[in-house]
Formats: sequence, C-alpha cells, structure tokens
Amino acid sequence: MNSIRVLLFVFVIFSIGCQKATTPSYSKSTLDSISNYRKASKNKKAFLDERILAISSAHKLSKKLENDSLILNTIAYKATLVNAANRPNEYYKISNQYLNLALKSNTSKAIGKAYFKLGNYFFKQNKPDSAYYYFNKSKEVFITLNDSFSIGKRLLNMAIIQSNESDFYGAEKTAIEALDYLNETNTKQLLSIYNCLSITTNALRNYDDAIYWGQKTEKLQTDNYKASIIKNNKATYYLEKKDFATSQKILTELSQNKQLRNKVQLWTNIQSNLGYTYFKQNNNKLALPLLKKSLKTQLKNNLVYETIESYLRLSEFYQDISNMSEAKKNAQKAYAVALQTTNLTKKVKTLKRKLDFIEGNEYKQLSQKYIQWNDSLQLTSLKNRDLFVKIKYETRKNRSEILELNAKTVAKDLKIAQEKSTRNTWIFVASILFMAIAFMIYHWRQRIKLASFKATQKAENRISKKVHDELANDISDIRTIVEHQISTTNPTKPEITAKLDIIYALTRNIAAETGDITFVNSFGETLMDLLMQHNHQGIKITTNIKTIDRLRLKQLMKNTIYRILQELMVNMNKHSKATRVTIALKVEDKKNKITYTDNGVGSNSIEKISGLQNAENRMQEVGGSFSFKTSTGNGFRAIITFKI
Amino acid sequence: MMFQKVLIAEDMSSINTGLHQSLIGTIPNVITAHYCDEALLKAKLALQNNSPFDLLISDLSFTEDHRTKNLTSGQELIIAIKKKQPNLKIIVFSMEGRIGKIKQLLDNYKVNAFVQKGPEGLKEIKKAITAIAINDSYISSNIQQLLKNGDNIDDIDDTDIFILKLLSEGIGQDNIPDYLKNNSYPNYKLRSVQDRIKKLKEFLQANNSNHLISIAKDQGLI
Repeated sequence: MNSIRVLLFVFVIFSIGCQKATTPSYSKSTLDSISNYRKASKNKKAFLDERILAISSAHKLSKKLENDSLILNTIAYKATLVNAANRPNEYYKISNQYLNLALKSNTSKAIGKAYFKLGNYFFKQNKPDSAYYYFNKSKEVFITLNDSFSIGKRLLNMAIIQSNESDFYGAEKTAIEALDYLNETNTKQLLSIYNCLSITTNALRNYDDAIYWGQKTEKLQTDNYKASIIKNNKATYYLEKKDFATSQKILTELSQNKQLRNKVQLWTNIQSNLGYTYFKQNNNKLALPLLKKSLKTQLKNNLVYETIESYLRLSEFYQDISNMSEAKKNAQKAYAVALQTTNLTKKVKTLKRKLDFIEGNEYKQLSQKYIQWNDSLQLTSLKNRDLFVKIKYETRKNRSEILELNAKTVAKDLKIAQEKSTRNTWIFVASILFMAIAFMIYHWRQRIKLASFKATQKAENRISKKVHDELANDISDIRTIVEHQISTTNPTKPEITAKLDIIYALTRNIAAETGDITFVNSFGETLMDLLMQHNHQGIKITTNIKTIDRLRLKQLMKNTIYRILQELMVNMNKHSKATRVTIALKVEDKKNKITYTDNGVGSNSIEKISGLQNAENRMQEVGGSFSFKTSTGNGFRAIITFKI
Repeated sequence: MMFQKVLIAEDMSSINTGLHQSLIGTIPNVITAHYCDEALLKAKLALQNNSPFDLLISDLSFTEDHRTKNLTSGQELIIAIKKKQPNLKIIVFSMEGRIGKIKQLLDNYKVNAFVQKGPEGLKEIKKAITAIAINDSYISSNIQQLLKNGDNIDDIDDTDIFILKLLSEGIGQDNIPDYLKNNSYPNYKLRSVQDRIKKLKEFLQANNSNHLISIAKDQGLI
C-alpha cells in the first residue's frame, strides 16, 4: 500500500512538472518584465513610492500569468513596502488581499505570513487583542509547517502584547515557550525575549529571575546606551530585592559613564535610583541632594512619570526622617501630577501614599476613590488575561478538530488494511492445502491482534496524557483565576470553585483510568494496587488475585485483565452501592477463571453496563471470554476465563 | 535542618510562581525552572559553584512541544539529578493519582515526599517540607487515605485455597496439616490451620464450615 501511495505521489509531482513545462511561450517576455519590476522595487536607493509602483506592476503581470507563487510574493512585498511608507489603511487592505489570495491557492506559508501582517497592523493601531489573535493564528499555521524560527517570532510578539497589557503570568509563559523555538543565531529575537522576561518577572516580583534575564539581555546588547538602560533596570531589581550594595555598585559605575550625561531621561533615572539606594542604606547626606537634583532636571525636561516617582521617593525620605510636612507636600505633588496622566497604575500608587497624610472627610472620599480605582485596575488585568486565554483556547479547539480529522483518516487506513488482510487470508488458506502450516496462521493472527490492541492502547494513553496535561492543568489554572476574581469582586460565590474542584477531580480520574499501566513489581502486586486505587469508600474486598503471579501471562493478557478489572471496579463504585466484593482466581489445567461478585443493587439498565460490552470484545481478542449476570436487587457477577 | 536552597521544576507559570511566593518567606533561596533540561542545568551549575540545592520540588509531566528535549518527564529529571547529587531531597508535586506510579516513585526512585496537586496543594507542600527536614517522608492525605483503604482488602493465598479444597472434599481439620505437608506446602500445625479457617469464615462471612465451602464455591474460589 505504501509503495502505491509513493508512486501516486511521484506521479502527481511529475504531472505538475509537465504542466509547468508547457506554459505558453509568450510568457517568457512577461516573466522578464516581472523580474525587472521586482528588481526595481528592491532598489533601496529609490523612493518608496517608486518602489511600490514597481512592485504593483509586477503583481499585475503575475496575475496575468496566473502564477500563484509570483502573485503571492509580489503582493507580500507590496504590503511590506506600504507598511514602511507608513500608510496603515492601505497596509490593512493589501494584507487582507494577500490573505485571500493565500487562502485561495491554499499556500500555508503565505497564509501564516498574511496573518502576521494583519497582526502587525493591529499592533501598530494599538488594538492589542486583535493583534494577539492574528499573531496566534499565524503561529498555529507555522506549527503545522514546523518552522521554528517563525513560531518563535510570533510567540515573542504575543508575549510582548501580554506584558504590555499586564498579563504577566501569560507573558512569562509565552516568552518561555518562544525561547524553545529559537536558537543562539536569532540574536535580535532572543534579546527582545530576555528583555520581556526580565520585565515580566520583575512585575511578578520574581526579582532573582528578573536579574537572571537582565543579565542575559545585557550580554547580547552591543549598543552602549541600550545596555546602560538594561543595567539601570537591573539595579532597580536589586533595589526591590533589598540588595542595596549591589544596586549601589551598578549605579555608581553607570554614573561614571560620562557619555550618558546627555541622555537626560536615563541619566536622571540613574541619579534618582542612586539617591534612593543611599537613602535605603541610611546615607541621608548623599541621598537628598541626588533625589532633589534629579527631580529638578525631570521637571525642567517635562518627564512626567519620572517626576511622579521622584516626588514619591522624596515623600518617603522625609517621612523616614520624621519631617511630616515635607512628606505630605511631596505626596500631594506626586498625586497632582499623576492626576494629569491617564495612567491608572500611577494614580493608584500616588493616592495610596497621599492617604497616609490626610484625615477626615477628604480621607473618606479619597479612600473610596482608591478602592474603586484599584478594583478597576485589577479587573482590567484579569479581563486581559481571560481574553488571551480565550483566544488561545479557541485556536486550540481548531487544532483538536484537525486531530479528530487525522483520527478519521487513521480509521480509514485501518479499514483498508483490514480489507487487505482478509484477502491475504484467502491466499493463505489456499496455501494451506499444499503446506498445512496452521501454526503460522495462529502466529500471524496473534500479531495482528497485538498490533491493533497496541494501537488502541497507544491512542488511549495519548488521550489520557492530553486530558491530564492540558485539560486538568487548564482547569486548575482557571480555578486560580476564578478564585482570584471572586475574592476581588464578589466574595459570595465559593460554589464556583467547589464545582471546578469536582470537574478537576473528574478529569484526573479520566486520566487515571485510561493512562498507561505501571507494572511496578509483580502483576499480582499491580492488581492489588488497582483494587486499592478504586476502593474509594473502603469497601470490604476479599481476593486471592495476588496468586496470579504463578501463571506466566503474556503482556497483552495482563493488560486486558487489568483493564477489565478496572472497568468492574469503576462500575461498582459508580452504581452498585455494594458493601462486599470478592474477586476469586481459580487456576485449572486448561482454563483459568476470575470471578467477580458483589452484593450491590445490581442493574437491569443496559446503559449502566455498556462499558462491559467492550470487555467482552477485549477478552475475545486475546482468546478468552467474558460474561456477566445481573438483575435489579441481586448484585453483580462477572466471569473472566482465559488460557495461558 | 531547614532547607537553604530549593529548586522548583514546573511548567505551569501560575503554579511555579505560587510555589515561589509561598516558599520565599521560609527558604532564603528559591530558584524556578520551567522545563526539565533547565532544571538539570541549574542543579549542575549550583553543584559546580559549590552551592548545591538541598531540595528539589518537581512535577512529573511537562507539556510536549515539537522541539526535542533531552529530559521530557519528571521521572527522567529525578534519575538524572540523583546521579549527580544522590543525597538531594525530592518532593514530587503532581496531579498523578495512580497508586502504582506513586509507590514506584517512593520505592524505586527514592523520592522523599509525594504531594498531589489540588486545592490544598500549597499547604501540603509546606507540611511535606517540614516532614522531610527531619528525615520523615510525606504523602498527600488523600493518597494516604487510599493506601489505608488497602487494609480493607482481605488477601487470600494459595494455602488458604488448598485448605478450602480439602474441606470441600470432606477432609477433617485434624488431617489437613498432613495433606499440606505431603503436597509441598509449608509445615503447619493444626492450631494455625484452625486460625486460617476462622479467618476465612470471617472474610467470607460464613457461619460454619459447610457454609464456608458453599460460599467459596459460589464465589468461584474453588
């Protein structure tokens, strides 16, 4: 079968090749002009408008030729140039055209690229959720293409968006994921990821990690000015970590770098940080002039956010030396400046400080405002987190649909293989007339059974791992989010978490029931573990199943017996209300028997025992049998017979 | 002895961070890793710098992606790390609930504690740390409960079955020790045979020997 498929494939390729070879001859000159136009569009010395005109002409001619790859190439480059020319509306339009063409010709790579361009557009338009959506879609396409670098690049963009929108958990996870797809040669991307990681881990108050990633960023950064920014950031991480000595060392070093003096923003940051470090080490003499001086420069240069920080630090300083009036004055100034901005985080931060110094009605009013702002701040970050999780889930759902399709193809293949095997049987039967080697048939059949059994088991294990790794993990993640949300917004709904806990336990059970079997010691021991596992309610079980060890069973038989006993125990737990169970093994010369008996309520409902129908098939597959007897009120009995 | 330096291997950021936050107050140095290779690397580095970790908290399963990794599961990480640092204490923090697997971790991989993820996970991690700091082992309470349920399983062995068979053939209790001896079963005194029969009656809820035999036949033991 495989060889036929390969042949077919070769044939298809060959016929495509033929078609291309017989393209009309007039196209040769058209091809030449396209190539000339493309060259012109890549001429970096020409004006952007001219280059865009050139690539547009190339694109039009490509359409005439109906050459898909040229059409896609030219329009993609046109989009790039239009973006460089900073014409967002046109960029959006062309990117959409590009996407439509790519979808029409079903070229995965182009589809992925088109999504990326759309993501870029929305990112520039400051629409982070749409940008994230398209970057994620693009990433999914490149996952199917196994293109590591492109996957990494998209993940990087997604991480940056999440970090910008204060979804720091998500950002960290995405960035780490991105790291997996990139290697040392992708310096530019690595630099961004490391930087993103140091920012997010700092926001998550993981200062050790922040320092670690900061150091990695520093190593890759060759630009002196940018490296200094990173060093200054690193110093603040040490500050947060209360490692003032290290912070001071880094900042002093930076202060000696004269080239930085004309970079006002960075320079005042360094000065202010150094001042604050001195203050934290109780070196007030050195601290105050530095803090005051940097504030003055910041005010002069209209550096709003820096000014707010400086006021806050001065307020803290004065409070420390018990100069309350100055402390209050600076706190109020910080708040006043913050009010002029649209940054909610800063408003909350400054207001919190101001609240320390006021009383009475003003305090009442402002503290209410504080609670309100703080809540909406938390809510936005949560909303963003939920949004990104949702987008990711939706595409994951798409991917699982593809997986399902794959499973269907596998089933089809299996059917074809089965048909083929019946044909083979006939050829075999004919040959028996001449050779009579029944043994061979037996052996051959056994192998097919083993193969199909192994395939089912592999599928089960895979699904189990998926349920365990993805579903259960996601649920536990959601649980934390929900719990957090409940505690900040509405403290009266603990039943949601309780319900989530139940679902969580259910998924865990599914994983345990279908996961691979660990044969730790002997088979008997493994079966005892199984009984223990499912004996949730501490039902009395009497059994001699451990003595199964003296039978030498094949792995296939062991697995089958294990699964069936498991099914029986699960069934017992779910429906039976039994208080006593016996599982008896009887070893006889020709066949062995395991008898399961419980004293539960029994059942007439087919629905409840449908899982056991499967057991019948399973036992037949390995050359044994399975039967059961039950009726309402009379308990449940099942008998497994098997040969060695 | 309280721990000075702990390594967390866990791919879920939220859990990773949660662990970090809850431990940083009591343990001075908490380092996190998101996948196994990273964890092993950090452990090796710490050994080289003469400041080894004295505790590892690791998950078992790590999400796969298409990129090849050397270590793909917590088990592999534990084996690899134990080779480098045999005395390292290990807590497994996982969603695993299968007793077989957990026993394997404790018996074969010699991990010091197993804590199951769940609502009480973080609290239990703290309990586990206190327990293994004084050389105790620790197992999550719900797993412990399952192990305890093992006490409810009555184990019948081959000698019991043989005794039941002899009884069903009408052989009196007094003669059973001889039969056992002649059929290469261990030497039993009458007293211990009687004990076994008494135990079987209890297990199978039989009133007398005849009842016992009829139940044993009915339930498929003989």
